[in-house]
Amino acid sequence: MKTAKSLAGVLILVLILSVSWSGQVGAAPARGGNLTIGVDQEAVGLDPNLVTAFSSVARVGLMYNRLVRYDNDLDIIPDLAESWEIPDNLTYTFHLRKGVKFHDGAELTSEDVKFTLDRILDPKTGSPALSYLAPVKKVEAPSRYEVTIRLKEPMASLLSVLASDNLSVVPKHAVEKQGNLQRVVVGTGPFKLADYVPDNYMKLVRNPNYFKPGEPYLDSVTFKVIPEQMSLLAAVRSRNLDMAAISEGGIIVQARRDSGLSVEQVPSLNARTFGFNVTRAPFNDERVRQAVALALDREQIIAAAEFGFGQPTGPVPASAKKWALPVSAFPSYERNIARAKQLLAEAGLPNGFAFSILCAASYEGGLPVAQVIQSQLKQIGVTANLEVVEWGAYIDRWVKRDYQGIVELRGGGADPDRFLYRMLHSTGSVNNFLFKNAQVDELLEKGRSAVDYKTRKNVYDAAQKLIVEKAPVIFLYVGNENAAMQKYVKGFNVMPNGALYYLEETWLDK
Amino acid sequence: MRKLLKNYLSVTGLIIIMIFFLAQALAPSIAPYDPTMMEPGNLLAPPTSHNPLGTDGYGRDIMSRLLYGGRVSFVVSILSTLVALLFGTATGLLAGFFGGWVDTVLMRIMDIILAFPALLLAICIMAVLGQSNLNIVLAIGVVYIPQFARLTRGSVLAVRDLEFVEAVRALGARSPRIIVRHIVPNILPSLLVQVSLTISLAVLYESALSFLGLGAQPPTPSWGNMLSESRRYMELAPWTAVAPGAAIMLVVLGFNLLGDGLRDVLDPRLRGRI
Amino acid sequence: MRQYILKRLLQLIPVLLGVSIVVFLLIRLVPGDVVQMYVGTQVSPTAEQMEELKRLFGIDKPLYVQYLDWIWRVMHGDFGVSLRTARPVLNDILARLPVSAELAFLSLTFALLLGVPAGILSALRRNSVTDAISRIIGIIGLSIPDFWLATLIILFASRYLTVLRLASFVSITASLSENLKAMVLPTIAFGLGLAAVLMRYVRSSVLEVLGQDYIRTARAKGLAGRTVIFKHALRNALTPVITVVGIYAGYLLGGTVVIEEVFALPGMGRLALYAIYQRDYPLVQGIVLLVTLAFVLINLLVDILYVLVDPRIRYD
Repeated sequence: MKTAKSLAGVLILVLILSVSWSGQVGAAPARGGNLTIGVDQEAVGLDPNLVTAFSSVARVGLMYNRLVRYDNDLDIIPDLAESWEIPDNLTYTFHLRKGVKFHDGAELTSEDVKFTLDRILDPKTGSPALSYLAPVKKVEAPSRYEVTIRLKEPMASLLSVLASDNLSVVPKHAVEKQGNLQRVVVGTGPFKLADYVPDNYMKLVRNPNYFKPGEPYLDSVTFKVIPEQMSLLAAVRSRNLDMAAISEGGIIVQARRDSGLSVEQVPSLNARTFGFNVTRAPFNDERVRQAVALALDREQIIAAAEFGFGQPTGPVPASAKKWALPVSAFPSYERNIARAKQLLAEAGLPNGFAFSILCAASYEGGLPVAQVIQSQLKQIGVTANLEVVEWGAYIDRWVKRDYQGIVELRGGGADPDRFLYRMLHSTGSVNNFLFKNAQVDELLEKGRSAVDYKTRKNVYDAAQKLIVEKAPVIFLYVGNENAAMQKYVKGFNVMPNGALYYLEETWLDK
Repeated sequence: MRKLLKNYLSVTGLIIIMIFFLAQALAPSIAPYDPTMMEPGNLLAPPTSHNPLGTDGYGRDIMSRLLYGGRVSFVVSILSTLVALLFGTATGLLAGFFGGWVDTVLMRIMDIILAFPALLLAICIMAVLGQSNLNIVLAIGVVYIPQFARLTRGSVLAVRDLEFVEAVRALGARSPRIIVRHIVPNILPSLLVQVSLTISLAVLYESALSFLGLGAQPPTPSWGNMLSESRRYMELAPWTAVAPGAAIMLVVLGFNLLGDGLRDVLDPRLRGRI
Repeated sequence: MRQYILKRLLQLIPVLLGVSIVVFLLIRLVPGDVVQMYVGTQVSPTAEQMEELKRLFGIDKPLYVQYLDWIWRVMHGDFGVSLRTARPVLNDILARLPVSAELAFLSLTFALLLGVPAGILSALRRNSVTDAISRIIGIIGLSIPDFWLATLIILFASRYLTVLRLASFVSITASLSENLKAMVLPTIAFGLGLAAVLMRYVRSSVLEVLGQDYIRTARAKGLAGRTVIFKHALRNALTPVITVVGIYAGYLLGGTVVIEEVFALPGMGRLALYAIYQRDYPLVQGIVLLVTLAFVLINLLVDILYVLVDPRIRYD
């Protein structure tokens, strides 16, 4: 593997040298053209502050902007805010870009930002982002281009939260007129909504007044919804699509064999997890959970469920490299059948036990993962029965915490506070394992209020180890975000969170 | 029976069915491996002497899964046909024999089932009652009830007013007796034909449900869910799709050939023409 | 005849009412309601938020009130608005119907062109090699699971038929030629099975007719084989064709989920599937009611056509 990598490095070097020698590097991006992109799910609603579906979020991200955003290395970079100051850990002041226009021509001001945040903070809006903003006390707009956010208590992940597409800035005047923005789009983003026929296509056209001069390069972007993975491949292979977002590992392998296509893959921020309701026997016993954790082999799960595309992860998604501990830091990640059996015996279950795993046939529902877990647990005498339910029933049971074990796909954040606090703090809004541990709570609170990276890193290193040890949920792996595209598509980067921001820099070389 | 044997196509059908039936019945003794056993280092292996039909994406032996999967496919399709036969025939008999408001009410209920989009019904049944093989039987069975009811009712109407029925009625025979002794034997041939065709449709229907994630529950194999899973590897590992696909096709072919043969032999109207 | 039609139309009422009650209750029995689906798994709203959302979606009242309210409005032509998209249900459905209707029309035509001649040929040459071959091909056409056939077809086309539009539907109003390029493969994938069904029906009904006394008499009278066949046999063989076409037209208007998923067609089947998955009650109810209505009306039409085609049948 290492040789392969260094060989690739040499090749790239040679390539760069030869290209720059022939004077081709940095060829100016060409303007114009339409890019058709195939995705497997239809958007459900378009109001950035309201949508929850991954598919909606990705499209909304092209039509709106946030105060700040992530780049593909998961660093925070300016978006609508040109710069910001943090005088103390309770006050954040943002300076907005001047002259940013909404698609209807109105100028974006601090009033719109304040309105957006207040809208999310209002429980009546029903915004999924509300729980992210719990520590916000007040939002002020002291001048036309200045916004101040005041917190009740420190929250180190505020910038990361503000980079979420759910916190895209919406125009006050349009929301007041329309009620919500589920069907109309009035954003500041690089593309405007031109035409939308659900389950068929959505056409976005270039925003000529976009605040980045010259961008976007494309005249338009057309989304096509193609539910079957094999059909996505067929459509991109036959050039009916310029690009396809593919989730199935087997299909990616087939796309990579196609010399006409280029395939880009990056580790995803979304983590595959296997969680327990820790209030129900036998998983109310920590030792039983640890035994299960010791019986799992993550590489095998990745091989069967993701075609080998993925990497084992701890509580912080492995793709968030700044925070994630290497999995070698977790002793239980080394499969140990003998130790697992011993733990079961100590817990009074020497002959194993039977329980059921809730899962669903959709990608999020993780049926393949559950099948491999089931097979692996046989080796410690534990019988796992699969309860494969329809997606709506799955959500119902999830909300009611009505399960013993559950396979999930957790939408990860690049900042550990945003990801772990909601999931594992005893008051966390999506702690559906009903996990309560004073030590974990204390660490998560510390990580939230501390500001400097070093202190936080130490806190989260300790938290990750403790969470793995307590095992209310077993973190399995992060998969890949993939795109298969035609060779003439240039300038696109796949992002770990699945966002399509780089379409604004994409151009067609044909 | 001699006629049936002379009809070479239906004999072929019968032989195909018998082979697959025996294969699934003997699965525990002839399957090389446990159908749910995963061999992590041996994913998507092509056919070898070790795995005669190759392995699937989890490293499970396809041969073994095919044999055990046949059990689910056979049991589900035969049972659901029985459900349809039982309820459909009963409804048809009652409606046809009694006529009047009984007929009207029963046949309107059949219309409701017939008109209701079948797949939606199946999804709702699974979601409400939970996903199990028994509920798959129900979901498939319900769909074919009206066919049996209509067929039976039509035949009963044709037979009811025939002289011999009138005669036994005049002799004081009571309704249930008339139905069982005189009407049922008369409609048996067309029911048999319908049964063989419905079984073949049910095999296909189970695979369509699997496509939507509503079929037999993994890791239990069924031909439908094997075929559905193989979609992911169709180009990389065609053998994962060929085995269950061929099995479904052959069995459906078998039941259809048998049904056609039965029709030719049993249906008196079609007997000895030209 | 007029009375018969009237009677049949009256019989529609209990059927439609029955369907409306079944769908109304069934979709509400399914675990997980629209509010939960709306909120998703990544958030946990408070109890008040849930109540507020329930009120917003109009599912806070007792069931019978909701039902009566809905059915009353339906009778006035108002099918309500989709809970997820806030668009009128009727508009959503009418936008999808042309796609399903086009697929129905194309694949039925394809099946008729293929299945009817094959069936007649097979019957005329009964027990010949031609008969055996066309019957076996016919049955094979029947025995391939449609999603499998569809996937094979699209995979094959992605290598060898790239002139076609794969999984890239274009509506007929936007461009007829592009639309047809997108519809060729779904038509074949769906029409093949249908052709097989038709072939079998045509074969057996032609056989039946050929065996009947009057044909034999005609033949005995020395009428040439061809005349007999065309004058009598074909005309009578039409009856089962009408039956099959009628039944499938009814089903097809409701959409074929499998074909629509594989070829990414925006038809009724996918609309219904997603409506159920997202517990969009008014949309599910509206679809089922309208599809049922279409189905029953087409059946009525079929029964009337029988009389026109086959003078032996009479409704009194």
